[in-house]
Amino acid sequence: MITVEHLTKTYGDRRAVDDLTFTVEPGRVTGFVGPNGSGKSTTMRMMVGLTRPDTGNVFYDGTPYDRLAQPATTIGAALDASAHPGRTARNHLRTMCAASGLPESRVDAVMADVGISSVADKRVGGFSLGMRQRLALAGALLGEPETLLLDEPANGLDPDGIRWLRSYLRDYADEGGAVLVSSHLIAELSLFADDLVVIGAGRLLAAATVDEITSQAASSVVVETPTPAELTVLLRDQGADVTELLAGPRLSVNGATRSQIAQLALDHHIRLDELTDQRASLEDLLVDLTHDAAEFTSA
Amino acid sequence: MTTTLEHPTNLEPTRPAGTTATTAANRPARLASSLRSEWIKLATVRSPRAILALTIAVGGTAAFMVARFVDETDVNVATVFGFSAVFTAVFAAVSGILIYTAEAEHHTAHQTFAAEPRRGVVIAAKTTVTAIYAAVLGLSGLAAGAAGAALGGVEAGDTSTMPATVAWATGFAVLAGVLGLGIGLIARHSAAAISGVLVWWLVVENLVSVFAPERVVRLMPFFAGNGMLEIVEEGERIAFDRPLTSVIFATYAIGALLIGLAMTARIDP
Repeated sequence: MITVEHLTKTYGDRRAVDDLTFTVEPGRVTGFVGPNGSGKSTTMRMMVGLTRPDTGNVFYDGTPYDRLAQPATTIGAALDASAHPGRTARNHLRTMCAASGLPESRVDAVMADVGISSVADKRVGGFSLGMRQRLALAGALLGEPETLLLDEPANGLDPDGIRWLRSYLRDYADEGGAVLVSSHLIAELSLFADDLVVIGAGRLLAAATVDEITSQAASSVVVETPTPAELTVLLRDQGADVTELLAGPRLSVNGATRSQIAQLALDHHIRLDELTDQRASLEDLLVDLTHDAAEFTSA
Repeated sequence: MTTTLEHPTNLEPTRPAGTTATTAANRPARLASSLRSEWIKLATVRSPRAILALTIAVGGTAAFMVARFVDETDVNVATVFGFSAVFTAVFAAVSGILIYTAEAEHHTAHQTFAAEPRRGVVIAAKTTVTAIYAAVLGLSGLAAGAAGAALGGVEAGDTSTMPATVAWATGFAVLAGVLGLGIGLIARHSAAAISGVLVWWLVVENLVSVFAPERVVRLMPFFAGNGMLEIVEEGERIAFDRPLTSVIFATYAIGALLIGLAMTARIDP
């Protein structure tokens, strides 16, 4: 289990990570989500000792990263898809194996795992971003770690690769591993993650299961009727918030359930052509959660 | 912004007795792992092989040209084979720079320091590999110089001086490599570090030596380094003797390495 406790990092007068606390449980995929510049990468760098926190700690089953006897066997990290362009994929992984004191036999095994055996002896400079992502994941898997830490691993992957990654990480967690995977795409994460940790401006905004977070998404009812003005008056009299939608004679209603609207229409002999629940998307929810904390927003 | 949802888990950390914690006993093993990794890095890209080939080509060609076309009585293999040692030291310094800046520029330093969080262990491994590679460059340049001089058709000369020349020239190459590594750790950018070293070595020190007093000039790094080769003209001998010049040059090399180590320990890769 990874325990992140009160992690804080400041660059100049900008607080990149602010008193961040969360845990990553074994057997679960934890999505780490937030807008660009929210502190996800800085947090992950602090988790593997690349950035020194101002305050706070990270423990792997109670042991700090720099006290792990063989870090690669506890945590496999793929924080970016970088490699020397003049080195082959195999040799890149050999350097990582040697640095971690692992047997070189692991190199072929992980390349087969992530599907890059056919380009093992090609120079990385000729790789697509998707192939580099697979190589980075291979590097993280070398030590057969208990925990995977992946920063935006789906960047550059084609749809098939994304599906493969989801399935791979899901299986990894199902076999008992802990996975922390960052993304700014909450919908993507919600497809395979168990838990979500949402941050904005370096602060924890939410940490819960995907189902709990999904249930927080605000819902409304879309109504189509040939007499929208009459229904609007009736609904507003009942205290509902009604907005006229641009497409057709349709209304978006908040503050009244589908059955309440149906009963009201029946009582006043108003014909309804459509009556559907509409839940806000996870993207809407993420924007709502992080809007005040987002560093870069559109007008 | 408010936290909208409750934290799902108990945050009470569990801290076992530290069975996985690093002990002093496994530090030699970790240094050995880092050394092996650094050696593989050096052996699996093209630039070290290219620099070695260049060192041999320059060493052999310089000695051959002098042996073949300079018509002086003291031109023989023993006096000519080390002529290229200054070029070899330049190549060693450039190699030392690239050993770290290539990692910084390609962001592989992330993987290196994640695998071995003790950055001093990584720098110790890089220093060792740099020194070995620089020694190989030095010896290869000298061997090529001896071969080039022999091919130029000159006599062997007084070969009893050759072991000392080999030792001092190789030492100069090793220290130049370490100095380059230190500068690479400080600059973390290949072009900046290489151009800085070359401009200082080949331009600034020559300009300073025109007007600066002797007691200052002989303390400059590369003037001292050249003193290890005893290539200063007899009439202009202002350098200290070889042991003292080597101490001066080594002080610069180790100083740069220690500053680079301190910066690497403090600054995020």
